[in-house]
Order: sequence, then C-alpha cells, then structure tokens
Amino acid sequence: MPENQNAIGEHWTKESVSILKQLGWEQKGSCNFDIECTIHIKERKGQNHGVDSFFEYYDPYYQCNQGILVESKNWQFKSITTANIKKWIKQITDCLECLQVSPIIQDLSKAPIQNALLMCWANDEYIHDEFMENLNKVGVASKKYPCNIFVASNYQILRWCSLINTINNIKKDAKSFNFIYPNVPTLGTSLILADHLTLTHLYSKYIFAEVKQEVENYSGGTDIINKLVVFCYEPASSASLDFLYDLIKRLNFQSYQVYEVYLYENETNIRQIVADFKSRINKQIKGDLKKPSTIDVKYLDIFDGLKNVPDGIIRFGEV
Amino acid sequence: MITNYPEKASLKEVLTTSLSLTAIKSICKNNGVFLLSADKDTVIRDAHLFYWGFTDINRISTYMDDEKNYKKSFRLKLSLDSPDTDVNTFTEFYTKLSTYRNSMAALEDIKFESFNMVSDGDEQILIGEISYTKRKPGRVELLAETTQRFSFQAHKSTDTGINIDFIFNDRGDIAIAKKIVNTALATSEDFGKPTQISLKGLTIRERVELFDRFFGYSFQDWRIDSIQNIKISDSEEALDDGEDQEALEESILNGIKSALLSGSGLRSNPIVVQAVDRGYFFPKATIMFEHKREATKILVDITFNTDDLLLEVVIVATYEIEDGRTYKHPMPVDEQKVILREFHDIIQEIYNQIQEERTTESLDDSRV
Repeated sequence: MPENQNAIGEHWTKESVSILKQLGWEQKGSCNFDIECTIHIKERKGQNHGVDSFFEYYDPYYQCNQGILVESKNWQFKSITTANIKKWIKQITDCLECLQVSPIIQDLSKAPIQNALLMCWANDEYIHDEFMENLNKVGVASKKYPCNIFVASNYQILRWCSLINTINNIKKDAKSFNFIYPNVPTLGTSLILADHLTLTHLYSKYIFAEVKQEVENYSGGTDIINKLVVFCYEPASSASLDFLYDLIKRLNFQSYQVYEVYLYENETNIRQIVADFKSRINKQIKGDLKKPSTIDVKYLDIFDGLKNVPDGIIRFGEV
Repeated sequence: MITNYPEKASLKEVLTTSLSLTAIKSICKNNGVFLLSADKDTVIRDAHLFYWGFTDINRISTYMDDEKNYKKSFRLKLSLDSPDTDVNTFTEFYTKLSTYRNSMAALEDIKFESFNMVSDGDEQILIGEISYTKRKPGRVELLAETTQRFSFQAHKSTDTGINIDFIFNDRGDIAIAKKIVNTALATSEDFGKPTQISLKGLTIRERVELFDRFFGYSFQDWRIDSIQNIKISDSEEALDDGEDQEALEESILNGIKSALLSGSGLRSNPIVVQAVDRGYFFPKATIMFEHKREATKILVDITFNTDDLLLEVVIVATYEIEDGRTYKHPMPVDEQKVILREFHDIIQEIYNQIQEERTTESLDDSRV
C-alpha cells in the first residue's frame, strides 16, 4: 500500500461527500469519526468502527427519514478484487449493526439505518465488465435484519456526476426543478416532488423530474410550462424507447406539455433510432387538444474520468 | 420479449410467485445492490420499488424461465427404413426440416428463431430454436401471454441414424416438437417413424438392470452424491393404497442406498430383488450429482413418463457450493444442454447393451 494511501482515502471521502450532497443528501456529523463496537468486540479485539461519512434523507416510499452509512474506497483497479469487496461489505454490515445502538449516531439522527453505500473508486484504470464480474462473485450471507448495501463503482459515480452537471444546466433556465417519486399503489403512497434522489432512484434505470419553465407566448408575454424530464440509463433501441414511453403513459404523465428524455449514450450511434421514435410518438396526439404534448430527446454528458468532470461537482464542499 | 412496462403490482406478484429469493438477490446484485435481508417480503418490497429498465425486465422474465423451468429433454431417434440406401441420412433430414421451416411452419404459427448447421470437431450438428405463443388468460399481465421457446440439437448417432434432443420448458412443447418432425418427414420414403427409448420394451428385471448400470456408471465429470427419491410402479396396474406405495418406495430407496454404499449393485439387494419378484419396477429416480472438479451440484430426474414409459431427462435444480454451503443457482442453459445430452447418450448406451445382451443370450439359448 503506498505511503500516501490515507491521504488519498481522506481526499476521496470528501469528494464522495460532495457528490452526495449535490444529490440532495444531508450529511450528519463530520467525515471520519469512530463509533464504539458493541457487538463484535471479541472479533475486532475492542477496535472501534470507522465511519467515513453518514447521511440522512427523506424516503418518500417509506414515508420517513432514512440514515445512510457511506464508506469510501479509493484503490488501484487490480486491488478491487472479489475478496476485497467482500471484506469491505463485511466491514460495512458489522458497522451497520453497531450503528443501531451507537449513542454518537443517536445524537446525530433518529432515523432508521438499513442502507449503506460503498463508493468504490478505481484510481488508475477501470474496466466495467471486469468489475461487474468480480462483484457478481461476491457472496454475502443473509442477515436477520433489513440491510441493503449499494455498491457504486467508477461507472455509477461518473453517471451521477453527469446527472448533476445536466441538472445544473437545466436549473439555469428553470423556475423550479424537482425529482418526481411516482405514486406506488402497492405501498399506497402518493406522488411526491422532492429536491433529492434516494438510493432507490439512483439505482433505477429511469429517473423522473418536473421542471417549470418560462416560455414566450404568441401575444409577446410569457407562460409557465410544466416539463417532464426523464433521465434514461437504458441502452436505446426502438423497443426500449417504446418501453420507456409506455412507462410514461402508465405513470399518467401525459398531462405534461413537454417530455424531455435524456439518454446516457453517444448521439451518433443511435441518431436514426431516436429520430424514428420522436416522429412516431409526436404523431400521437396527447394531453391538451389545443396544445398537444411533444417529446424531445437530449443527451447526458458522458465523462470518462474525474478529470473531465466540471469543477464544482466533486470539489464542491471540499475542506 | 416483454415490450410493455409492468405495473408495480404485477412486478411484485411475479417476484413473489415466480422467483426465488436467491434469484431476486442475484438480479439486484447485477445492478450493484446487495439486498441482504433473509425475509423474502422485505427483499421483494425493496426490489419492486426500483424502476427497472427494458433489459432488466426481460432478464427477470428469463429468470422466471430459469427458475421455474430448469431444462428438460427428450430424444427422438430417427433411422432409415432401408439401411442399404445411398441416402445421406443427415443431409436428407436437414433438407426435409428446411422445407418444413420455409413452407408449413408459418401456416402452423411456428417460428424458427434460429436454424443452423454447426461443426463441433468432426461432428456436424443441426441446432435450432423454435417459438410459438401460449396464452394463459386470466393471469397477471406479465404472465398472460408468453412466447414459448424450445430448442433442439440433431446429430448423427450411426451412419443411418440421427438423434434429435429437444430441450423443452413446458409439456406443451413436446407435442409441438413431435408434430414438427412428423410433418417434416411425412413425405419422406427413407425415414421410419421417429422412436423414443421406452421401458416398455424391457422386462421388469431389465428395467431394474438399466437403473443399476446407470447408478454404477463411471461418469466423466460427475459422481452420484445421493439418490434422493424413486418412484415405483408395478407391471400390471398402479398400486391402490397410497400409504403402502409410500412405504414400499421408502423401503426400496433404502435398499438402493445400501446397495450403492456397499457397491454390491441393485440386483443382489434383497429388498430390490423381493420388489422385482413381486412385479415392481421404478420408472423414475431423482439423483443428486456432484461435479468432480467444480463446486457444483445438480439434481436430475431420470424419468420414464406417460403410459408408454418414454425417457425424459430433467434438471430439477442446480446448485453452487460456497463456503461449504449449497446455494440454489440456475445453471446457464448451454451447460444444462451438455449435461442432458450426456445423460441421454449414457442411458441409450446402457439400453442398447441390455438389448444386445438379450439377443446374444437368446442366440446362446437356441444353440443349447
């Protein structure tokens, strides 16, 4: 392990925090603090659990606040092996157990804590297929309590940076911007607008948002229109775009005057597919008969490394 | 292919009724999410809240196939009516099936998703996948209309014979598969009627002999871990008393296990001998195999089904061994196909041996 590993680790913890804050999460406490180990005392020989960072957000589906433990790892790609990922997950699940009864955490948050996020950054190279192969081989025994571990690799992290960057650009011309949590009949929850993204939506292939925007009208004045924005992380094909449009209809989003779909793809490869899709959908009259809704397709930026991520995203909030 | 987005309720029902906890966790893991609760309701609640993509939903649909329908296979044997003819058996079969595919198939609403001649070393194999639509009215949307798919592999068994292995998911596939072959060969003057290996052609002792030799076979990759279950039947009629049948099955199963442990073979085991003397035989055995080199186990049914006691080889479940624990884990279809073909070949080899020995014995008898 290089001598400056601790410094690199601490730096990455701060960068992770800045990304998550921009996704609307609220950090509780500082970075890098310890909590007492009360359950694995023998195994850990009295050693405390280190907490890189701890967050809280309101979960519209669970209708309560949720606490999230975040562990940040910044390693060389070849060292992000199945065995190491498994070791980190064990570290996290052990820590989650002790967090439940930690007085330090109880002072910071009263929210239930059942989710943790592993921000796993490869600092030299990154091969997505190889990472997924290693991850899929990680076997973790089931727990007797609700416990979910979300693993974010370079792929996921750069995707979030891209999302933040696009949202920042949309916000420049918008009156308001909110993420949409559609109603879920199986839970009995209503549609909710919020300014943050939960892990459930961050790990979904479609993220919905509502944008209010001022546009000029025919009489020279201005109108406020409601736009539905869908960030789509599904590879585009004729069938998958139709599938997405079917989802928009199922969620009763037809009343929006404009649908803007953002694809996470290289435009040139799918230009014809997208043109056909837009033409097909725009021929169908929907919404207000006098002002039928229209669909437009745009593209998210694709960053191939942190160096290309615009300033102000990952360096935001650095100490 | 699933082309409409499923409602949350529909997705939740499918996760609840059609997928195991392991499968749901595996799908989530593939998206970077480890749902670690041991409680299935908790895992389903969390899993159904994600907005899954087009690929994910179709993968879930495939998992339903993998989970609910581990691959099953049956074999049709074709041979030339006149072995002396100059006809190239394999080419003739390929031509007949191609003609069916290009003409009759569309009329019968049957689609050949693929149809290729491939080479595996020196061996030529005709492989194909067939689809047809099966409707199940009244089911939840994700299940209401399913496209059924089954595949086949045809290869030469002898100069004048062909084996066609059908890998099916649903019993309805068997009828469709037989109909395709019969229709394709209806105009052929060279091929006889397709046949299948059946216990009907063997005496009670020979039927037990077939299983005995299978249990004692030296498999290349597998060893028998345990015989988990057997089904017994009698040669005249089905047993009336369910309780008696259960007791007898249990007793014979114990007999088989002790015979395997002692390495003495079934035929000399007193319990089995007694059952055979009373006219009983077993048309089905459920066997757990363990791979000789890999951390894998498979549970397989060797079963002779229907009134005609026709051979089917069924993969009941597949497992991975991790940290000494056995986890149910669907094996990729291609690997299942290899195993099914191997077991069909072995049973066919044993079946032929028994028949050949019978011919030799009767010849010897006639000389005496």
